[in-house]
Amino acid sequence: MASAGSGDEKAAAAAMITLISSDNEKFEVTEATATLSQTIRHMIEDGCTDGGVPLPNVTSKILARVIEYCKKHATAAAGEEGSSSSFSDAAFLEVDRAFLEELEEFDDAFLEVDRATLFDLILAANYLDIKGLLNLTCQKVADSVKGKTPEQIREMYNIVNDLTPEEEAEIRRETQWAFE
Amino acid sequence: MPPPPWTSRFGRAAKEIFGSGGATSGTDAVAAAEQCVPALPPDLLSEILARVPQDVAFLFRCALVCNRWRRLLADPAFLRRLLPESGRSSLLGFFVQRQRPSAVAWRRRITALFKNRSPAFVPAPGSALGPRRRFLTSFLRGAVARLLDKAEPLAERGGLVLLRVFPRGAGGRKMFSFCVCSLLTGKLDVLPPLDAACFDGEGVRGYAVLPSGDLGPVPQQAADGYSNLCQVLLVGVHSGGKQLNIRSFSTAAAASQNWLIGITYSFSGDGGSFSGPFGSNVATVCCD
Repeated sequence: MASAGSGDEKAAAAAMITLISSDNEKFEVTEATATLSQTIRHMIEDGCTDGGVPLPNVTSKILARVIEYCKKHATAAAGEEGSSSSFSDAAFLEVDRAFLEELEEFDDAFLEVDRATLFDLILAANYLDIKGLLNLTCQKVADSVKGKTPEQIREMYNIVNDLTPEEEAEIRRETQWAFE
Repeated sequence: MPPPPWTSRFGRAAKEIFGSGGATSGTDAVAAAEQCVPALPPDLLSEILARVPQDVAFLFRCALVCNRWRRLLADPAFLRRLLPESGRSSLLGFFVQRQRPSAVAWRRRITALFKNRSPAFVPAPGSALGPRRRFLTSFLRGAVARLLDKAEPLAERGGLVLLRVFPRGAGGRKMFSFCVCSLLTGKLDVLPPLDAACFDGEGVRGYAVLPSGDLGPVPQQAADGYSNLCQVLLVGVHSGGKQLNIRSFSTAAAASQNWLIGITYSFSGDGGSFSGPFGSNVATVCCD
């Protein structure tokens, strides 16, 4: 990846942020994209992003996905601001709706990953404090658990049942109504 | 800034996976667990499980998954998170009961919703008991469906519901049969039948059930055969609204296990009457 500020206009260069993954790969993104992360937003506000933002918890593979998400959703946020002045314009509303649908399709496709990647995305979204991404990914896992029996959940996520039969009986006794 | 330990996909951290520990039998199983489930810090488990509702009953069943899930699901901070922002109300819901079929359209719609006459619980929005409409029988253990088939809910307090039931061959309308059931423990007590004649044919005008918390500071135990410690009060008004007639029953071991005649209050002269407006069946009970 190219590093920041290679002969561009000063203003444009100032609006670019370099993110450095745990495996030392550099990603150059716009400030609008980067500030979807509250963690990075605070770093920018504190003026400590010169020379790039090291993200030792995020691999380049995951960071690339996270940036893909942020780019798409940063565009969406900018779109909302732009169209708010033309709220009464039916054509604009039509465009908005089409864009929201597109965003939903993007999110659905974005979640088509294996479980390890999904969990890495959750960790990254939590570390970078990206609310939308955390919600999206956690909801995906929550949906996979819905309606499953405890046995099925353990099987899906390789969880060892460390409850004694007595503890299990106690749980069933305490919340009897939930088991009928 | 060193990476926190949970980012490691290898070594001990990998055992502290989504659940309370990775597969512990054999290194192959551990390796398999590492491959398909990376480590998640515990606070993210709550992020995930908080998105599983609106079915709280399902969440409680999830406590059976493992100890970590159980601890999280019993954590008051987590449970508070499940309540809606404005969820300061403790109204869980109310019981409704289908009346006899009728030609009125809205009654037919209710008939379609409630297939039998057993009382059905309709949760309030944001109720901690989940969004699902369910029959009273779903709260209770054992084969009580037949007994509650036409049960009429009369009063509720502290999770205890007082019901009038109509067991077969129990004297029909001439005898009162009551039962008290706990929505929290799922236990049901059938009280001894009471001759309806004691209310002079005017019927009972008010009902109250007082759970153990209302029975005074002295700890008591329920008598053998009863699982819910409580007192039940029946209030009748007769002699033209001038006389109050109270019957009470307590499941406490120290009590007599029979219906007791309470004090009869009377109004003298034309000063007033016990009857509320429109012959209403509202009871208010105050405890000292």
